[in-house]
Amino acid sequence: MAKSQNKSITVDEVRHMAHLCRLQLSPEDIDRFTGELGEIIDYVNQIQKLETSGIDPTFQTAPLSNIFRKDVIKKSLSPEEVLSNAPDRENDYFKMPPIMGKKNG
Amino acid sequence: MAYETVIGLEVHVELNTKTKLFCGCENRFAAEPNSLACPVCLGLPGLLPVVNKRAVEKHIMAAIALGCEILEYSKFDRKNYYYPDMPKNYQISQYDLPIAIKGCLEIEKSDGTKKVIGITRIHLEEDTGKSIHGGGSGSIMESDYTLLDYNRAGVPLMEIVSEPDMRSPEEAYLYLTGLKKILNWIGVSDCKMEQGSLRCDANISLRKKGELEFGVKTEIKNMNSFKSVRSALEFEEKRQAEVLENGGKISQETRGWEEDKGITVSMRSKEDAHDYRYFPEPDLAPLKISREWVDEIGKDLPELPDDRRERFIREYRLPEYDAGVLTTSREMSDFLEEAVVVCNDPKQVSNWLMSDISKYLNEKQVEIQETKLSASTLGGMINMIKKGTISGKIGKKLIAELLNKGGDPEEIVKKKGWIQVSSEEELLPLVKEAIDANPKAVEEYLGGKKSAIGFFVGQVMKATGGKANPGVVNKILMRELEK
Repeated sequence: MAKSQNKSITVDEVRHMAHLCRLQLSPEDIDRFTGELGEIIDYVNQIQKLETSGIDPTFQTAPLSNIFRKDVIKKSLSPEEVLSNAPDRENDYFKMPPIMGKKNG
Repeated sequence: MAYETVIGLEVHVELNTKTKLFCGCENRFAAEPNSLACPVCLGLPGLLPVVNKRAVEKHIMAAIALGCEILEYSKFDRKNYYYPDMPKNYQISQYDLPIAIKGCLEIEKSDGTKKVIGITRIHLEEDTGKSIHGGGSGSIMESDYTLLDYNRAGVPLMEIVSEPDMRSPEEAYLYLTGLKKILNWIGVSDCKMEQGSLRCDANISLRKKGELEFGVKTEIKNMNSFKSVRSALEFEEKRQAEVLENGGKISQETRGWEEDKGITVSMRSKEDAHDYRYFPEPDLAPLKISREWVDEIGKDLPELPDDRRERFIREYRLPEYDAGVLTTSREMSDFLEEAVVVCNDPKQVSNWLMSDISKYLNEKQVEIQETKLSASTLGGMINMIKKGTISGKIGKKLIAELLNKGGDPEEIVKKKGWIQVSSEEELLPLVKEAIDANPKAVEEYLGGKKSAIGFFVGQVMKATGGKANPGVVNKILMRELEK
């Protein structure tokens, strides 16, 4: 088992990632993920050894480009359908905790 | 201490396509909340986005008009973040390969000097849903809850990033209004800040005069009119100068403009610094924009305002000032061109537009296309004056009638009995009357004050209700006075 002092990723970075993903992790979780993620990164890092100078980066693997649709209006869902899974609503709006307000500090 | 202000703007402009960027939902402002959304723009699982070709074309139009280089290979990327205004938890945007780079826009300052503002890049992305912050004191920072309307989510949005080339709030204002003019002109967006189809974030920093390195900048948000952009920057310019003057440091942060208080306030702390973890969007194929495609789009682009202005000066021999005023909107300049086709007299068309018509538009706060006057009618009326059917004075009455009620100028003139009186038979008695009634003016005229003739012409015009042909009156007057 890799330990959390793996150099590929630090405990702070994992904590930061968890915050960005809005995941609440216990200190034990963070320790475990730091080790596991480090192992994964180390494994994937083997690819860095390949000689890639002079090779264009690959952004897409499918040999496609310019897939377009015409600017033609299609029927949207009704507000009732749109809101059918909403945990909370006010009239025809989704209602949710404040983005920047009191609770988020 | 003397500081130099450095400003760069990030301007978001919604493209006026019929549908959204990645789905067929209608792109329309002020619809019922959540009535223009589908599984694609709601981020429901299992659906794929498909690019709206028209949005890419309109983006390219804007890029050409702003003198950009258009990349042959461009791609979309995911920008990951956790606000609920994008239900996917990411926004499809463009990161390192935007459609267009390296453009520019020229501004003209009030002292007449011109300056070129660089445009770093223009990329295409989807707009977010609209958040309404409820409860609290009405301030965004104190709200109790957020309401979301996804009608706007997925609307095609251009982000136009300028170079930090502006040196005053005034220059930023001119750049912004110039951008609006050109995008309006080519018909890609209505650019209405009050409706959010144009939005602007501003980066501003100060540095000591003569220093090359930029100071620490703040980003200003929440400005909802062109004027408030200028006001917010003026406030921030002063605030930063005071902080620096007192030996303080500017902290790099986002600040919100509070219109009613006229101040900017800190919105986000440093620990929330941007960390969007961009990566290539796997659901969309890249864009390959060929030279041929760009040329084709360029051909359909209307003549741009500066080119048209130059042509008005060169071909129509209009004064520079008039040519500038008459090309502030495409509608106005189209109107001029159409009227010239009818009467072949650009100077006369320009004179009417710059005087009586402009005055009317200002008074009523309307645009030329919202009046009852058509370009061909104006051209027709000018022809009537040139032919001598009506006098210029009657023309003034006629134009007011045409602006308010519209109609056929020939018919109106007939009905109102406004046809110009040119017959000597009718005018001679009136001329004699004017001479007899004003012996003092006669004396002055005969004493060498030739300009006194204008007074007599005026008298005859008055007697005929403006219908007398001033040229004929002048001729009879000279003859009668010399007798």
